[in-house]
Amino acid sequence: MPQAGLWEEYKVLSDQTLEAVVQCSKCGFCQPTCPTYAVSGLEHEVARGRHQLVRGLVEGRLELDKNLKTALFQCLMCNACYTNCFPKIKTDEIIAEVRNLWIREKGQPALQRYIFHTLLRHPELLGRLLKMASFGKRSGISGLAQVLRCLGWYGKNIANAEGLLESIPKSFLRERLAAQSLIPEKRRGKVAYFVGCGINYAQPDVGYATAQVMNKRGFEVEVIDNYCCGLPAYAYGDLDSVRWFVEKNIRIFSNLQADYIVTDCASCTSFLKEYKRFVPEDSEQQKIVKDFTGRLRDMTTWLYETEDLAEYKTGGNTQTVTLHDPCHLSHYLQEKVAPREVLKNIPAVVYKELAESDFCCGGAGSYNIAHYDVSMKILKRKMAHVKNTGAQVLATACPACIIQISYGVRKFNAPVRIKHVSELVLENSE
Amino acid sequence: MVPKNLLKKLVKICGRENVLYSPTDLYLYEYDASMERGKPDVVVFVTSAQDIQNVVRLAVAENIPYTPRGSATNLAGGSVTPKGGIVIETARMNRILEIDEENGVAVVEPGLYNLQLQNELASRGFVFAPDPASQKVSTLGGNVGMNAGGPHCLKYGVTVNHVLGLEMVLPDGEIARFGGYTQETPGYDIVGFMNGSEGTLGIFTKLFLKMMPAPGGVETLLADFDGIEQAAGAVSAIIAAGIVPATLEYMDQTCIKTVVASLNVDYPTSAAAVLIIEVDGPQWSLAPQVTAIEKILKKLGARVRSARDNTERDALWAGRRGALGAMTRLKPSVVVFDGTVPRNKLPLVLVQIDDIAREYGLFYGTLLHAGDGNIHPIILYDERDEEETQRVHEGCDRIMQLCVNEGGTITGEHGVGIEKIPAMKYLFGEDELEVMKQLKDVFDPQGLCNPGKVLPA
Ligand code: SF4
Ligand code: SF4
Repeated sequence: MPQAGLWEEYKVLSDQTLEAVVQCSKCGFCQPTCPTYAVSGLEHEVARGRHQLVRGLVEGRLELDKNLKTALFQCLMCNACYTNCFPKIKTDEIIAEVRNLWIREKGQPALQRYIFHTLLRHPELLGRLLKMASFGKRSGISGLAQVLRCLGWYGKNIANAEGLLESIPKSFLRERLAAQSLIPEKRRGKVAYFVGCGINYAQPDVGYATAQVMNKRGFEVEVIDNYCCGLPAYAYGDLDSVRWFVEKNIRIFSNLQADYIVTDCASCTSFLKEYKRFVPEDSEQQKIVKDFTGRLRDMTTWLYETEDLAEYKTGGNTQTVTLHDPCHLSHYLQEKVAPREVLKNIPAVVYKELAESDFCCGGAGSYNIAHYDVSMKILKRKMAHVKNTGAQVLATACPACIIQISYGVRKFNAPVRIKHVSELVLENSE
Repeated sequence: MVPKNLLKKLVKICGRENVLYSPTDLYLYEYDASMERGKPDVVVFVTSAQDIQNVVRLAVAENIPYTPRGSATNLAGGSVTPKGGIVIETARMNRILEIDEENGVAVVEPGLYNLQLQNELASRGFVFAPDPASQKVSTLGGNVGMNAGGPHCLKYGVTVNHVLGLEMVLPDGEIARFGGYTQETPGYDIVGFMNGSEGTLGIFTKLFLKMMPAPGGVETLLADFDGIEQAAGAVSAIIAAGIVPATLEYMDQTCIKTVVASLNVDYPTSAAAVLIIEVDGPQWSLAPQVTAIEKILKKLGARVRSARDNTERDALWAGRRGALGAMTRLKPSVVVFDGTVPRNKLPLVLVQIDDIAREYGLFYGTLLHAGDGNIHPIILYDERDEEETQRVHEGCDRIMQLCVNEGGTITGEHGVGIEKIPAMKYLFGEDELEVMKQLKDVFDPQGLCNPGKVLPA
């Protein structure tokens, strides 16, 4: 029972969060679907427990201490619980706000501050540093970290995560796309392409395929000069930075002339859809948000909607393909049809369903670095299912999943290649 | 607080990471899905019968209460610890040990989710009949402990009819096995006795469950009525005609309107109530059953629709499955009342529940496993409002008395737990309760096994 008066007085968290937390009826239905619970069985690792912890905090029964921190920071924010929750509680919103409270009361770690306040706000600086890393002697995360002068900050996590990133590309997507024409011969329309950080810096090949496919389907591609969508800052509770990114991007979106706004990072798509939460109601910005989210599509959805323009090769060898649903696509955007239908439509694809396909891979942005051990337990489960399909290719639609599952392939010896849906579509297009 | 040396011994039995006792952790193990709360002193995760045996022996030696816990989805406080002590968490004992298709027996550990077993059996053409609404998350150990029901228990019986044997740690710390692979065990029916014992007579370590061949086919009907009395009356009329449908589910107008508003289902919102009726069996047996049922329904003024294929069947069920969820979105707190009445009393009881709800100002909608008279009024409120909460408690108590007065009982499937202990007195006299107490004493003379449950003190 809540202690009298506390709900009224404890105003550190927003009314929405408080309302969301009381909505949790403790039914426990989130248990089988929560990845952190599935690998631990612990009540503080499941949505029900997390909501009760926040409630305990609000009711003054618990302190904002280390125990609470572990429970709340170990959440993947995958929102599998939301999909399966009767009252539809958005766990990510509660967690983000409590992490924000943590920062406000305990301070923000220096590395996070550096990333969200300096690097991501100055893409040219980030780009320069990453370039240096890519040419440096040491490859992968530790080379990157060395250049970022932050090795000490991540301590032993960085050693654990060694190998997560195989290499840093020598040229980024933006440079590659800037060097060529993106106007198709037969022009049907125009897509404004939102380039996510993961695609730009880590997987330019994916973005390249995305742009090519758009051209092939008759769409001119305008590469948006956007900032980070803000999701990484959101995940660490840095809501001030989120507002900064939101504001910058909205200004850029305000004069986009295009039929569609598309991104091939499911996490970006879903977070762009959340922009309305970060601008005042009835404001000019809100109008811009409404306009651009109306035209916004995840790449998989866009491919599905423009399927009648696809021209696929026929008669070649077939390959078995399975699909991993990125959390931001399946649990945030509730989109499970589009990627499947797109894959099934490719003549050379023999589609095979993956068990627990919408179960998080444990990548979750940089979760795999910050919580390596938990992340690996979750990945192990994913890779076992992947192996069971016997598929030659695993398709997905988010760079964080691609990095994580590719690591899983190396770590758990799974004979499967990882591709973005865009890449598969391109390979099979005439 | 548990003494340090006891903690040490528990760590020795279960391993350091399997013993929890920080204030934050204990706070998280003081609840289940009911309104009850009670803080344990320590939580241990067990992975084998030997672990449980060792923990129970230790508890007995130190005179400390202990309580088994699975998914803690209990709706009456069954896994809450009002007297503190050790919580024995069995969720990690979740293996399927054996599937014996020839003898139709599945041997499983108690922490396995009901649905996980169903999925495994489905791939082999079998079913485990008990299918409680919580089957995705409730454990089989809990299902047996509560003698759970579900839509299909109308035709196939409740959990007890599908348990062939049990292995368990008794409160004296011995591991015993009753029954097993055969349909019948001589001597007293201990297996039957343990079903619904709510973890007060020992802790299950292995369950021997009956597998049935999956039915050849199903037909699903949706009937809507202008009055709740006609809908409720149809239930007994169907069964009186000698037809036993596989399921016979009832939803009232509040539930219908709520699911239609929040889910994409096509139920008539003007109806006072709908029945979802499913018959199963060999293909040849379906059509005659459907014709007979339709005749009865139409005579009572119902409009009837039937599902032509699996997609339509899923669509008809979607509303029923999503009903509780959709309802809980309306207000922060929920009580899923659970009682039973004789089928033929349903029309009368439903009208009286409505009167009680009006008297106490309760906001509610009703779901019924109508075939076996199991009623689930879903009462919504805000537990931060103490006055409203009090009214909900009192209203539920009145509904419980109503069920008993009409020849029914105080729980259909959720168990007595803590919440319904006071209501045991409505149902049983002194002598009957005394017999139960003596039986409990035979098994658990020290009273350490899940104390504070089922029986009035
Ligand atoms: S967001 Fe994911 S990890 Fe977090 S509680 Fe929900 S299901 Fe579990
Ligand atoms: S499913 Fe939703 S309401 Fe139920 S316990 Fe989990 S978070 Fe709470």
